[in-house]
Amino acid sequence: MKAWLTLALLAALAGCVGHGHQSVLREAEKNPAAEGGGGVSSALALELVRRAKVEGYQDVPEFHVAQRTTAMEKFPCMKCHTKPLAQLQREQQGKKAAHWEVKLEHATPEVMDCATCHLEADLDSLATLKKAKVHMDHAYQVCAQCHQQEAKDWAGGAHGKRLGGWAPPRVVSSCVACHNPHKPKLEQRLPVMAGRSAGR
Amino acid sequence: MSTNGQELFPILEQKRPSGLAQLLERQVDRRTAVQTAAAALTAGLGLLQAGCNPLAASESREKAKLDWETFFQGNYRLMEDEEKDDTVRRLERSYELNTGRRINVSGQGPRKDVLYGYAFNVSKCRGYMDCVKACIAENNQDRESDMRYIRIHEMRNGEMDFGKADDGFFRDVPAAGHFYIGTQCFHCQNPPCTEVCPVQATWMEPDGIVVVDYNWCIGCRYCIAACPYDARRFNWADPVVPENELNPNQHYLGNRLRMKGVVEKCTFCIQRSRDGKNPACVEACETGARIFGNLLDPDSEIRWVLKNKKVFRLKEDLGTEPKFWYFMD
Amino acid sequence: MATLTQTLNDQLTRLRQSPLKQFFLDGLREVTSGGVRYHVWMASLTLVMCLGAFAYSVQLREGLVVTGMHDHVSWGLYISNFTFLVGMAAAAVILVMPTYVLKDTDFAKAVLVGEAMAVSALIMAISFVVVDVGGPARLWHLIPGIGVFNWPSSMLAWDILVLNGYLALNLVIPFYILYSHYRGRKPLKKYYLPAIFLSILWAVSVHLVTAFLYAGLPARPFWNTALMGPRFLATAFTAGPALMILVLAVLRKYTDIDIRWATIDKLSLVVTVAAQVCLVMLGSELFVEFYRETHHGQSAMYLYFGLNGKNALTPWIWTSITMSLIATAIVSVHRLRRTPKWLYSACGLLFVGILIEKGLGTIIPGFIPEPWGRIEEYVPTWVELTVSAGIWALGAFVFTVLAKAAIPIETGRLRCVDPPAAE
Repeated sequence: MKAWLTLALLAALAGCVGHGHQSVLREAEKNPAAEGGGGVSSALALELVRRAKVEGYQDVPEFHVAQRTTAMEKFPCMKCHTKPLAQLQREQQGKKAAHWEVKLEHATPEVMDCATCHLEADLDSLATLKKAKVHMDHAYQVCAQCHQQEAKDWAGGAHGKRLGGWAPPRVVSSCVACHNPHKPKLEQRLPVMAGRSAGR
Repeated sequence: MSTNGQELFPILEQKRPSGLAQLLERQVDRRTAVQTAAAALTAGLGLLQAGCNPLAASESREKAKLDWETFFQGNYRLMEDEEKDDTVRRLERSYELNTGRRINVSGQGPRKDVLYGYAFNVSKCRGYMDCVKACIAENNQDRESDMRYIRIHEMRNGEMDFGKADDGFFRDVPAAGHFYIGTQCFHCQNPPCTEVCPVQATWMEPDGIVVVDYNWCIGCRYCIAACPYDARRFNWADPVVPENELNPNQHYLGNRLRMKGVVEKCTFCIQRSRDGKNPACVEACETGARIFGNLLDPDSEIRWVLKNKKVFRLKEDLGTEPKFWYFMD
Repeated sequence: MATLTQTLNDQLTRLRQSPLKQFFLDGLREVTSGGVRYHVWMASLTLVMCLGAFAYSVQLREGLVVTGMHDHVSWGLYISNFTFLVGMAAAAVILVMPTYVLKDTDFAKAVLVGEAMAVSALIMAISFVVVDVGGPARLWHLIPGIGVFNWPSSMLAWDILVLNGYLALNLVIPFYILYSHYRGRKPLKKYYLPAIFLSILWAVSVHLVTAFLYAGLPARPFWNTALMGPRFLATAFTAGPALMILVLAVLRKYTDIDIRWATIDKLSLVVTVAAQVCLVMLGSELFVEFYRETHHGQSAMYLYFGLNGKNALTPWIWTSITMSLIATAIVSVHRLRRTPKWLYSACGLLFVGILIEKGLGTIIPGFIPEPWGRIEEYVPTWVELTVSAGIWALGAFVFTVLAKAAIPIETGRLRCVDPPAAE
């Protein structure tokens, strides 16, 4: 009887112990993977995504941004902008503006106008605040001048959308893929489906 | 192991002699015994129908044999690779026999050096419900009962109280003065649900995904009682998925069709994640609030989030070690 | 014709030679014969069982969707009944221990009735689990060897083990004792006493293990209390002997069983003490739940007072508490307890009160609110009610059969006709 009891007690204990309770993250940190993708890669899923290597973020592993220019309808800008901007504006005086649909709703007029981001001297490119040239595909560099925290999160992976899958290589959308730079505020909308107030 | 299901599988290629001949020829192990019994059982049925329509007869014989083998199949986790392969092929063939259409069922095992983790950005979620919709479509969830793995809770600013939150909202989102937080299976590293299962029909895979062998589950629902996160769902009736909405790319432990009386749950879209893709909810999320990746990869996004953001988990005091973290910008 | 008669005679002679077969045949004859009242009783039970079987066939065909359960209250009437009945089974120990261990003569006559009750309660409990599972055809997955038995990790595996073990003990011990009496021999202590000791331990463990099944789940704060096990035992030792008193009262009236009032009186003392302990435990639990109301007390809030305007269980639990209070008051007064009329009403109240409390008041509120605070109530459907009634009828049927066969042996009316001289 005593033996039976001891046995039962031991069995009960065996059922309870054994899955010692450790932090999963600490365990993960102790066992780094030899290869991040575990043998799979997102290369195939990303085959059709044209991308550019992201520059300017040394403390995160190399990653790419989907090209912006391939998605733009009116690019290169120089197709229309054959003359200097000032001359074009003079000639177009009184006529319907070419970019009539663009109404800048980004910061206040005192802070920003077209030239804050667009390089007047080369309309195919964007500009830093100091008027240095930035390629359209690297628009994030323009955004990052003010939105530093967002840029840091984006580079690290806490902000924005990743393309392909979780497996390397890492390719992400550019800021402007989601945020219209002329009107960055996201509007309210209805959800794609209702929540559930009751259910089975 | 072939996962594309394009080639004909061994079960079908074998020209089977009669049940009696099999008995005489083959050495009887566990699997063979079941198959033999199946053949013997169906022989009578086959003979009866053969007179009317030989083709239909052979099909119904095969169907009955597959059903029989399925009924007596073992616990998936304990199967040898070859057995797993047979099981998966059987599923594909049964579906084809029953509907005339093909599905691809994968038995892809866990990848080496991968432990999946998930992060949810509370600041970014806007309550669009794209994730829920994508999840239902991807995972072939029962449309009749409107089964969902994901719940999005609308909370009032200033209160992080699930009891006061609303998960039945349908209005312009994000509603003023509110924020949104999603819950689903957290794939705990120390899952309370798996240890209570009396038949080990649910377990954590080496890559951290908590799965259910639907064929092994007896439907006692002890795991549902044991889960502190409302992650598990039960098929109270036969699940219904319209043929034109069926996702044919399936995994044995994932989104394959379930039957009534078994428990199911989020599998981090095992049919996608083990192929390097993101779960459907992550891919569908418009705001990028959902982040998924390999916890063992120091260069992964998920690891960056855990290192650089202030993260928390829900009901961490229960010691469940969820692999699902929340953070804010 | 002549050959047939001869064959029959041969057969009979052969049977006579095997006392074991004779035992079963005599039992069968005893069970199938009886007065009109007996047959009407058995026929009604059979009818209810058939209704239950029909309802279960509906559930098998449609799935558990025909029950009132859902993802948020995933256990309902079935598991509630199961929990209660495990307690009823465990209560047999109240008679077994004094009789065999303490040599109490008052309980000796009733002990077989108690064991028959345990057997029928266990059969009911196991049936309630079987009707609750989604895939009864896959239950063979539980069988060690061909299936996977997740022991010792799963408390449900423990429960299956203890329930079946206890069932076996409660079949084997009375069988040995009855069979010995049947053959006019004295049961040998060296055979039955170890089994009795085992069954005493086992009785306590069946109900504790069943309590641990719930209490071990931090996911459900309402259940996650160390008091769960002791409270299960206290309620079992109240409701079990209470039912036993009622059953003994009925048997005294309708059969020739030799049960003296002293037996009932002693049982009623057990009921009294256990009922008082129950109230103390209820009080402690209510104090913890309500002195400082926390989120963990929401289920209790829902159960006793309703939450967010939802209060389906509130009337039930107050009915149950009122019944228990009144009954405990009655049995606590010696004069009332010793009056059969009062005692029987108190026992009835306690039985029903605890049935409600263990059933609706323990399992279901554990699920409400669900882990994220939503309140979805549970109301059993006709299928659940009918299946449950069927299983209760099955239990009553099994009990009647066992008692019908055992009583004449115990009274000495039924004895082995031709005991072999030497064996």
